[in-house]
Amino acid sequence: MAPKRHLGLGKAAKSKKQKKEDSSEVETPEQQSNEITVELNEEADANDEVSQLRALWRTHAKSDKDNELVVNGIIHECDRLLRNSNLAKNNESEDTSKASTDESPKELPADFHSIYALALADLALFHTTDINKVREFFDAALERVGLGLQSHDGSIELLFTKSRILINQIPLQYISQLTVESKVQGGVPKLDEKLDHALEIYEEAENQARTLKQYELFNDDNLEILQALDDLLEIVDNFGKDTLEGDESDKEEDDEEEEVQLSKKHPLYGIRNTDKYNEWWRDHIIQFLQNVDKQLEKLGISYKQDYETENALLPLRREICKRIGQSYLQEAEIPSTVFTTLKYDEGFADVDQLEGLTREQSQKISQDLFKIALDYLQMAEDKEEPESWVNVAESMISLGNLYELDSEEQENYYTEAEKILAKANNATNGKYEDILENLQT
Amino acid sequence: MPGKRPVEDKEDDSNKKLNTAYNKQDIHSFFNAKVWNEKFQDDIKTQVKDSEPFRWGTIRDLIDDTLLRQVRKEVLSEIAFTKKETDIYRVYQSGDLANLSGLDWDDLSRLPSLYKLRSAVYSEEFRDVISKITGCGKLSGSKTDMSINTYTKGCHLLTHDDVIGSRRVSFILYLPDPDKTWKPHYGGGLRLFPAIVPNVPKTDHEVKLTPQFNQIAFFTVQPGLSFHDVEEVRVDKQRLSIQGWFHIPQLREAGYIPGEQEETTSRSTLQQLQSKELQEFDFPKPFRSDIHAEELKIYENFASNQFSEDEIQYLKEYLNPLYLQDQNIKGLNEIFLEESVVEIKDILKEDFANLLKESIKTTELEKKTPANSKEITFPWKCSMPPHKQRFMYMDGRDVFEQSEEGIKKINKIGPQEAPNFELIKRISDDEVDKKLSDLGSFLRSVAFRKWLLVITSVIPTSDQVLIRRFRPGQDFILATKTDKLLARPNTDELNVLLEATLNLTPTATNPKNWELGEYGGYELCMALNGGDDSDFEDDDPAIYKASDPNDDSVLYTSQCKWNSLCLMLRDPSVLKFVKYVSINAKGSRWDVSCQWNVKSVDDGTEEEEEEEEEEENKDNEQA
Repeated sequence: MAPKRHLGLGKAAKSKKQKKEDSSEVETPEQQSNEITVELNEEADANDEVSQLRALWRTHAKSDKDNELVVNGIIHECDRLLRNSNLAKNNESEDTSKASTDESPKELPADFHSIYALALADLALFHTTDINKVREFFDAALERVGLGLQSHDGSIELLFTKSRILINQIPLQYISQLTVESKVQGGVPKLDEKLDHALEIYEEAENQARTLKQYELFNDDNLEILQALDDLLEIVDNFGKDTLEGDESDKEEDDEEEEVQLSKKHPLYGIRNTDKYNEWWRDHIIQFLQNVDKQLEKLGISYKQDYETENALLPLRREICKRIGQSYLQEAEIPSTVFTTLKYDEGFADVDQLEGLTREQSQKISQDLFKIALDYLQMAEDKEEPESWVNVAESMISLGNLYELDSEEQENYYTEAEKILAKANNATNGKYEDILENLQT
Repeated sequence: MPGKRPVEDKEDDSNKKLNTAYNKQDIHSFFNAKVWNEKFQDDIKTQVKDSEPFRWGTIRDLIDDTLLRQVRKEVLSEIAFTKKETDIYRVYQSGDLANLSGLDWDDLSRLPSLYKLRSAVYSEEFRDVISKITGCGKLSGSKTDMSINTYTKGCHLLTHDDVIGSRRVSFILYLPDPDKTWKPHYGGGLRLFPAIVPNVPKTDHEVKLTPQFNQIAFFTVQPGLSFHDVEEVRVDKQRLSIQGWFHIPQLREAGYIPGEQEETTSRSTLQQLQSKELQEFDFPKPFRSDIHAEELKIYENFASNQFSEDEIQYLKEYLNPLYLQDQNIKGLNEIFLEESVVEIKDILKEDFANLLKESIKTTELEKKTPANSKEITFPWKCSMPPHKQRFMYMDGRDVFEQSEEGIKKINKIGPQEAPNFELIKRISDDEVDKKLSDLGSFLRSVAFRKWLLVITSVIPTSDQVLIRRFRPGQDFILATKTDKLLARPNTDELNVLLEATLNLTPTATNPKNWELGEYGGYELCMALNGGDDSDFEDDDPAIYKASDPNDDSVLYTSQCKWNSLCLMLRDPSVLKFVKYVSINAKGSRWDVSCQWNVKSVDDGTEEEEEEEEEEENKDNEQA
């Protein structure tokens, strides 16, 4: 092959452009469109309408969920499938002798109803300023789930869906209408009762899974239900406070705002003034983890091992462990503060008890909690994520703080934490310099 | 036809415009009262006089607190910010505020506090304070020049000296969240760089100011000296600021000196040119080592494209055997001839690559990344000066001291040794340095040059190999072009360079780390129109839209990758840069960058082509 002229990148591009401009050919500019790409997974049959619907739903669920057109599209498709299905059923009942040639499934599967209902509930997100619409969408979504459950009694999937919609309904439809002065009266319900109902449904799903020994639905999608509950509890805790700007992850204790007191008649009082929901969350996320482990067991996968290509359940497992670990850290906060105050704060030299705890009690309780937290956070370690190592190191430091100054236990925890932090600090270009320096002095 | 200028209705105007003529009392009330205190002014004057590394100063709580909080509120609710990214910055910018007094009532009513603030800053009273404390002489009140920027996570502005036109004093008034302390580890600091000699800033900054709400920093624009940057913001917080310049007095203003504006402008232009031409202090230098005539003969006679067994054996120690197969070589060659660029994935042999990857990863985790040029040790060096580039590199030569004397010695007195990666491999006790040096040696081997020849159809006549590391939070190369004349006189070289970037970034094996571009580190090539000098007179940083695939000035972009070789034939119309690597990146960008002067494999056709090219050049000149 004869060598071409070596123009170089810039000149070659220019001469190509020149050629393009010289030629009379008119290129149609690419249309900006709202097209989305839907990936069908391997099992999905492109000709099976419900499979297509599932793929479309997954694409939406994994996106930022900011495209109302897509949600509307999904709902239209659900309507159509439902119509066809009803039509087929009617035909069948009219003429039972004729063999049905219609390819549409007559009985739509449980997840069809689930998708339909979730799409309806998602529509509420685009109309948060119009409370009537929000109510309509949630009513429609719950009606759809109800119809689904009529034809698929005890469906784990539909029960999960129902509890998810019920939980999401609380902030969007109810809390959004409340002020600090709101009271339970005509039309304004007690929200703890609403929440109790949602959680009962979740438990039903859990029980059903146990009975049927079907654990596949304990996946990252349904973990979102527990996340939604967690978010809801946080919303309730912060209710009445000003929203803050930006990332407040490093806010200092003295920045902490006072909690706004709610009257006993306030619709949120029953959620705010109890530990029961936090405990429920903890119990059920631990159950969730156990159910994930049952799936792993079935697949013969150990979370302790390194795999070339990771099963999707392993990152999920780490995420769950991280959340559980963090919840124990949070729980340890008060007793550990009590301990350090009673032990080191001279202003409390004459005080025997704080928050109902003696020095010894608070020490023991917080040590135990930190140890559990540490176990979970170690299981949550991801070798690609320095932050997950730092979580481990930080709980080691917290644990070390609860032992006698310069004791062997303390030194061991500190040394181990320092090693981890040094590595994480290198991996993140000095992000943990402060903590590290603090530890070294 | 009505006149193009809108006819102003003067009677109506008085109703619509805000009261622009604030009296002395109003102006005083816009500031913290201490500003007008003689003693305070004298203290600041002393602070400026004794400041390092160049004359600058700062005042806390400058503006009346209520007014500035109001300004912040207005700005956040009324002004839209757009993200701008070039080789030198990433920032969210608002429009220019110079024409604020020309806005109609509706617009002014939306920004009344900002309007007050601008009147205050450019008031005669405050200008006199600035003149006094900086000793810079009179300042213009009519030529106002302000903009509002916000730096959020990932935003930064690399080293520059602010010298443009008639600017006399630069200032930045900071407006982060007024109820929070802005902490040093958030980033976003104003960092000042000392100069080695005028126009050459040192690699490391000397002073860092952590900005607080209602704090102003200011300095006289000092050509060749006032180098500063804005440290990248590391966290998800808004570092809002109003920044601007006081200009020299304009016609009919107090302090106006005929000819001063022209003189300042031409001086600043001259300074920019000098700065650009001051290459003595640029390291690494674009110096390529000649390939000896005897060796060239080997390539000239390598027409059959047939490698010997020994050569294959040697190449297989490093290269993926796929790329030694005739069919694949042919395919790559076709792409390269068509596109002038080809990207070759998994170029290095798997086990060689894996070992290298593991050792680089280990280094990144076990060893602290050098945080400044002093922490960089042999065989690595730090590139300079930082208003053009900063990165770590190995060029196979000894290290030197980055001072005026050290640079004089290496440039004009000391030994001029040829690069020798093999030697570095032998004496270094660091696993990564050894492996990379080994690779450096390989890239300078006869067998590899032959392989290069069959892929590119050009014969290398000189080469330079640089092993580079771009550290998060520090390193970049601003847009640079090559010499206009690349072919050396009295040679048959083509007026292009063959360039290779062998991307060896281990963290890029996880696609989510670099592919979105938010951590920078990408290499980007742009076209200069026509490729002649006139395009480069404008000192504005090369502006492009990273997200716009239809922008045809962008010729090529490449995110950080693992084990990928890009070969490119670069002519003088190509600008190239490596985007600053974010402090939040998961690791450094590692690569090997090579350059070769080249000539065509076929001398006969080349002459014709050159003639053709000359013809074309003539045409261009005429056009």
